[in-house]
Amino acid sequence: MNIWNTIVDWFRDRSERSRVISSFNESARQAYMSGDAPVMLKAKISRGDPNYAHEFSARWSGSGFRVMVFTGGQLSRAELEFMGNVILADEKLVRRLIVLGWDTLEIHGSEGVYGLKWRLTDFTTKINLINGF
Amino acid sequence: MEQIADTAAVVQQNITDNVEATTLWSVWSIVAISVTLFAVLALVLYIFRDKKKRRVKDKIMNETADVGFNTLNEWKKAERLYNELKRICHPDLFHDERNEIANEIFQRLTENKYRYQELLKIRDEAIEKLGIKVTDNKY
Repeated sequence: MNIWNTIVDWFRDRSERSRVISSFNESARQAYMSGDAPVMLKAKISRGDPNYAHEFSARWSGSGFRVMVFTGGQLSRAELEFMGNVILADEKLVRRLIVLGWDTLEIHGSEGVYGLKWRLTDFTTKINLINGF
Repeated sequence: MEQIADTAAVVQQNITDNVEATTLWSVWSIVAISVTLFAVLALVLYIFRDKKKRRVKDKIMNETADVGFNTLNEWKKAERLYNELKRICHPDLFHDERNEIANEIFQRLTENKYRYQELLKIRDEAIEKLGIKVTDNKY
């Protein structure tokens, strides 16, 4: 029975991770269309940084939350850094990302393969397995 | 007499072989039981740990069920507002009794640099207490 629960939970987590990515992309699209955001962003799951792994890391299905500047123009490094920090300032969001298996936030510009990355667990109080916080 | 001695030797040999086989079997059974116990123990620990993880995960998922990506609408506005406020609320610009208030506001500004909703509150407070004017109304 427990094995069955584990399988069900695994599929539920995968589904929730996909929902988060879709939600991000839809919000980014709306923000771009309404003119609130100067560029359109697109999120996808990446490998992540194994050095940033934590208790909940999804080691086999990608633990990186990669945000890419999709279209609309270039962003400077300072702007990418500011955007990353605005996302990380939302502690509830960071907690949700952590328990869904992400450990790395990556922000990439539209050109090249270089970007910025943060260890998610640095931006929330430590989650312990006894009471959750 | 010689035949009796041979028979006794054969019986002795059989007994020795049986004892060796029994000893060998005992060793392997102990190994097998140990491995099985270890596997069962590891499985129990894994399930127990997984249950705790699941409980914590469910708790956090429930508590964060309402989160969204509103920050995507806000990051550029937050950047603009912060850059303007840090310029016009700088304590060096206030040489009267407002200097202390400006200091306090500037400190909060730095702490909430990336939180747009907090920046809006600080902006309103700065307008009221410092008498500043924010140039861009779209914030």
